[in-house]
Amino acid sequence: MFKEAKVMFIYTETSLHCGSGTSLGVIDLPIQREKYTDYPVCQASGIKGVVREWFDNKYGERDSKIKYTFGPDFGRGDSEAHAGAATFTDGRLLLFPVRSLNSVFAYTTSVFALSRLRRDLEMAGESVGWKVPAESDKILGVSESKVKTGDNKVVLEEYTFDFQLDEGVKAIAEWIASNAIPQGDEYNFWRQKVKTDLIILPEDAFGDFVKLSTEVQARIRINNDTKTVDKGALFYEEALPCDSLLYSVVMAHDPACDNAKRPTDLQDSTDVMKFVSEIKSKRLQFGGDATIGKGIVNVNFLNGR
Amino acid sequence: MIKSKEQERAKKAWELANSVSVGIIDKYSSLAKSAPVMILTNGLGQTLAFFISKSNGKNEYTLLYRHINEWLDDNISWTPNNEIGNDLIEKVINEKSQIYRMVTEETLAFLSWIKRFATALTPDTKEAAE
Repeated sequence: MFKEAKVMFIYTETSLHCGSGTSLGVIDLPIQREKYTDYPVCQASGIKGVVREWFDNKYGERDSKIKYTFGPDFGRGDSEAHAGAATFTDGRLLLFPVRSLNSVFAYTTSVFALSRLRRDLEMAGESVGWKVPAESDKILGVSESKVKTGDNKVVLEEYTFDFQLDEGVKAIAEWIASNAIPQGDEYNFWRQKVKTDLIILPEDAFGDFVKLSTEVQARIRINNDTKTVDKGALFYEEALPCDSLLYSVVMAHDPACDNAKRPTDLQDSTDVMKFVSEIKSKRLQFGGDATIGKGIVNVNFLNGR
Repeated sequence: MIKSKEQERAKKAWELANSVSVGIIDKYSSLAKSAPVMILTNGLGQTLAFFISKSNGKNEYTLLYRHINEWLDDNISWTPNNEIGNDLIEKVINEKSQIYRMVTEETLAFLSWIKRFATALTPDTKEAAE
């Protein structure tokens, strides 16, 4: 069992394609989704791999702290099998941006997504001052909300909803702005925006938006001779849009070896957590299509700790 | 035996795709392939309106529109509205948000079968292959 846990927030700065292979559905290259909710997700293995790679680049892949934190790499000659000391959970969706008639886009979430975040925070030993509001068939938001229209409606894409004032949303929005969104100065705009433009959607509506409102891009291959599309070379690729917020719970154990073998600055779970936390406020590249600028994310830990 | 919704969609799609004449199946098939993405990027209403604008009473746009209509007619509980006609586009644009989204999802689910069967029925499968 883990000894320490922290919530790691992942904010997408470019669209993110954590692919799930091919499909027989509408989109040729869909993104990973949770089976029971159909929410977009980033599988834990993908997150762990990216984090490891970041450390590989920083310290060199032979660094023993990396080996004990993430596990041995048999491809590079490690011979002894042992578990890594850091655990990552799947990256779950918290905020999903949806085009809005007013204020360009709104940060949307749902009662379920927030309740699950609270449960995961509890696991990480964090308590929060906010409460999840009761489910409603209207959109919940704060009085300063810039996404609501004059007649108390919210228009998201081509759908119109009734707006309902719920000042409880303010505490959630403030908390997200000061804990989950990256804290650098360059994020001032987004921290302000989340305070006014966070809305809680009815469960079904949120489920529909995360299914139907992801980015779908047509990709082609050009035939060099004719400069037209090659036959059969059109495919559609799905991506999670920019300005989405995901989170993963990072857990730390003591390194899986005798005390004597442990690197001097990686003695226990506290050191492991400290080590992994070096990625705080860093930009990483998640998912596929790295060379066409996909998947640039900014990583943040709760309270910046 | 109880059939799953997917089986019912498949059955209807197979029947409708088979009713498309040989002369037009390749065009019908390529439209069925692009229609779901059109819906995802532009919305169902816009897509249907586009079909109507391209329709001439017997081409692939007419057919696909008619087929979607036929399926949705039997499988969506439309909100009763005496002020509008019985045409699909009228029902779609007058429907409330929640049902509209449900209709969108149903159409996408149905089209994924239409798309597959139409591709299978196109004689030159090499060209039809993605």
